[in-house]
Amino acid sequence: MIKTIIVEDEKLARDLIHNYLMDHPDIQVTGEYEDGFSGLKAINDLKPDLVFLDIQMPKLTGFEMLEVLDHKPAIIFTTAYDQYAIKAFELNAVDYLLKPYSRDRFSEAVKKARERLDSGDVDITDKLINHIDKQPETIHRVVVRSRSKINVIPVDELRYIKAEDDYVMLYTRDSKFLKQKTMRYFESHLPSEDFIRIHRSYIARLSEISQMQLYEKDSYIVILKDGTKLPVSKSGLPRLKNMLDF
Amino acid sequence: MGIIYYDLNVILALTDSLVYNGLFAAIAISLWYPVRYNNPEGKISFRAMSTYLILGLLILPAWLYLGYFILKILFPGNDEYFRFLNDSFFVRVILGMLYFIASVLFYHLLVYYKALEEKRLNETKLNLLVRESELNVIRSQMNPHFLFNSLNSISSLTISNPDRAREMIIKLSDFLRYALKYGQQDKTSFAEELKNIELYMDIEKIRFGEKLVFEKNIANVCLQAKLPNMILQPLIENAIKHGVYESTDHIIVNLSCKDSGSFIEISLRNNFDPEYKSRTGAGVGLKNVENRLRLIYNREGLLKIKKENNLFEVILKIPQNK
Repeated sequence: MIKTIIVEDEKLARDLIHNYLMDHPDIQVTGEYEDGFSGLKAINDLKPDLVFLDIQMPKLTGFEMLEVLDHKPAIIFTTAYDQYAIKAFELNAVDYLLKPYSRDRFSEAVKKARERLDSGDVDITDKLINHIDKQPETIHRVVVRSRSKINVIPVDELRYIKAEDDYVMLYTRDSKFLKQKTMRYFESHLPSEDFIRIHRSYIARLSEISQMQLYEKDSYIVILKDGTKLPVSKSGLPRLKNMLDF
Repeated sequence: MGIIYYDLNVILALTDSLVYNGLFAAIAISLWYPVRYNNPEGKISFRAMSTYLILGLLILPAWLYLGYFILKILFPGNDEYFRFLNDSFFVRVILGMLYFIASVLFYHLLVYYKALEEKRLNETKLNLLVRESELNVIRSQMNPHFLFNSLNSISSLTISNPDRAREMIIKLSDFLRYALKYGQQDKTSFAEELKNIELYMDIEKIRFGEKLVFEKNIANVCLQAKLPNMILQPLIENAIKHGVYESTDHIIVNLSCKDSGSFIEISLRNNFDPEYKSRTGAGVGLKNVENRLRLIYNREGLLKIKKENNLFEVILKIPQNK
């Protein structure tokens, strides 16, 4: 038995998967979910073997879900149209279904998934995420996992970001969250009119900066509205001056 | 009359021409303002002509007298010269008139050309925007997500409910046909736009079921009102995208229209999931609509956006000439 869940926001699309699955009695659907957030919880809780995962969904996209999965199932992505995703799938040999898809094509995908499950080689997520991250798109939320809890942080609530080895620490008004991403990722994906890389290890929200001070000879710090002091590097200084019209 | 020679030296002749021509040059420069502000379009009207006549009658004597006065100061007691000055009075009047007419005409041409250029630029901009929005409309009608997801729904319905599948195919076809027909820059009636929007909403409703509720509240007067082609489509798509696509709850999209005298006021409201963290400010789609309205009606403030709690509203004012 292959324990399977479906994460897809349109009912008719879910119905179709159910119908096509009648050809595959070994696949047992244990749940279906209409948005990324409940889908994510289900994957982490139910630990299915296989997931049919739509990419465009409310609350969390299929890709945002991947970033915070505890459990790594085999995934068959379904999408209507997303050139960048399709390229990422192809380069990473991940199977996907383009809507609308035929019964035969569906069976082929299921067959491949079965083979992957048998060989135990299902974890494609890291490579895929790396690829997707290169997409130059502005993000408006960040998904983080802290212990068993999933948090969706709106970018509007981010105050500053600090590098922590392979992770970054995201600071909001009353909390902080660890996220496994690079500084470069945030530098290129946060709205560039709101955030500025002031230091190798720091990105700050421009509107949070209350003043800039000479710290030592030739070195500056910025003081945020709550009094937090952050260093400014040599390369950060001209950028800061430029954005503050200094 | 015969030719009369005057015994004048070169300095005198040069000064004379310098004073009169220089004076007129100064006058000509200041003539720019009456021309520019009298009629910004650069067309010669009866009113403009009479203004220039009065202006000429004022300026010419002043010019002649001022020249005479300056030369009198510069060359006191040079009788021979002043005889020449008196004799050439008539020639100078003619010359002054020619100068005057030439400068006014020159400025008119300049103003006219500038206005033409500006008009052309505006038209180009408008064309560009219209073409862009046509493209966007076609692209969004062929919006791959909308199109392929709809086709996937149809594929599913062919198994579970063939009648509805057929109904959806027909609606999708009608909708695409409208998109292909669209291409002119003309205005269309609100009724026509509404028909298209209803097709679109019907298709989305088949996809999203009860999650999407479409309400409308249209005053009868609005149906006959004219509005730019496809001006509402981007707003509807925006509401669907940020409302329905990003929510798991019911989303109510409400389209209303009322008559407000010299314009109609169209309002599109949708609730959205308060947990959906969208970026604030207008998206590209709304900005395009705003630009189009500004260029077509040559007025600001025809599009307003309100966002409170979990309600998003776009209000359009479409001027109507009655």
